[in-house]
Amino acid sequence: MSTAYVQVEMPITQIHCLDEAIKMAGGTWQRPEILNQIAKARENLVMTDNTVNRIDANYQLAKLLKQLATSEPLNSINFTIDGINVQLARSHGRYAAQLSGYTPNLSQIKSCISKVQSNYQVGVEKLKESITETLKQLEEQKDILSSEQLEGERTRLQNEKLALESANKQRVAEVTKELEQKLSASGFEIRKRTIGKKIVYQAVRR
Amino acid sequence: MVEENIQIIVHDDGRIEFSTHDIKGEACMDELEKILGELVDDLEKTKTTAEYHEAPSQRKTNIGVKKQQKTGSGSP
Repeated sequence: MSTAYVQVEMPITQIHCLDEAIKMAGGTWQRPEILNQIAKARENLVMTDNTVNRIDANYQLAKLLKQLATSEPLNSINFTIDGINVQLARSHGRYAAQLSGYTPNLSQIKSCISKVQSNYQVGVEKLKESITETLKQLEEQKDILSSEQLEGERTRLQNEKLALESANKQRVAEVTKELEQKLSASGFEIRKRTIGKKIVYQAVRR
Repeated sequence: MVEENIQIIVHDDGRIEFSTHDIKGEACMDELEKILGELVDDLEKTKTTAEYHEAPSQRKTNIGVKKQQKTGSGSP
């Protein structure tokens, strides 16, 4: 074996999780309006004081999450942390900084990205856990809640998942397309398999 | 027959994992840079093994599946 590599850090693909990560790092950015609307809808959901309002709030949030999942991704994102401006560009389905040795404030920028990257990964994992946990709780409460309540909660959670996964699916689609083209162009024969949620390429050149 | 092998795994969250077999030295890194350079952000963290330093002329036939070495624990 010659070389092995594992991309340990999760690539940044979703702007709603990125938004949380920037906030957690004490940063600011020009949030798109859809994220403001989602934040407001989440507040409304928490504040609901009766079943009817909660069902409405769930559907409202679900609608916005679906809108986010199906909207055109931003091409670039600028954020500022501690006075350091960081620019990320969307490339191959993820947001990444285009840095070189000549970039001013390179080490500070790298530090900001590292903080945001770490927050992002934690945030995504927490959100996934929260969705799974809430779905489990719903299943346990299905005999207590009305069918309208259940449907509202499930729809919101499904769209939470959709918003989380749609950007990743785009990333995977862009990466696999590029990989297949480049491997073929380099003279490799490709065998592609799907194992669980992973896509495995075995490329051989004789 | 000498075979050059690359295994690439694309995870559902967009992370990429790969290992190469029987592609030596700088040729290996050049190949990976060409294929993966634009897709990952920290290719320089790639772990190389002793075989990396063998000259291409010392290549041996790939005779079986070799255990994959990883640089981290990010694979779920």
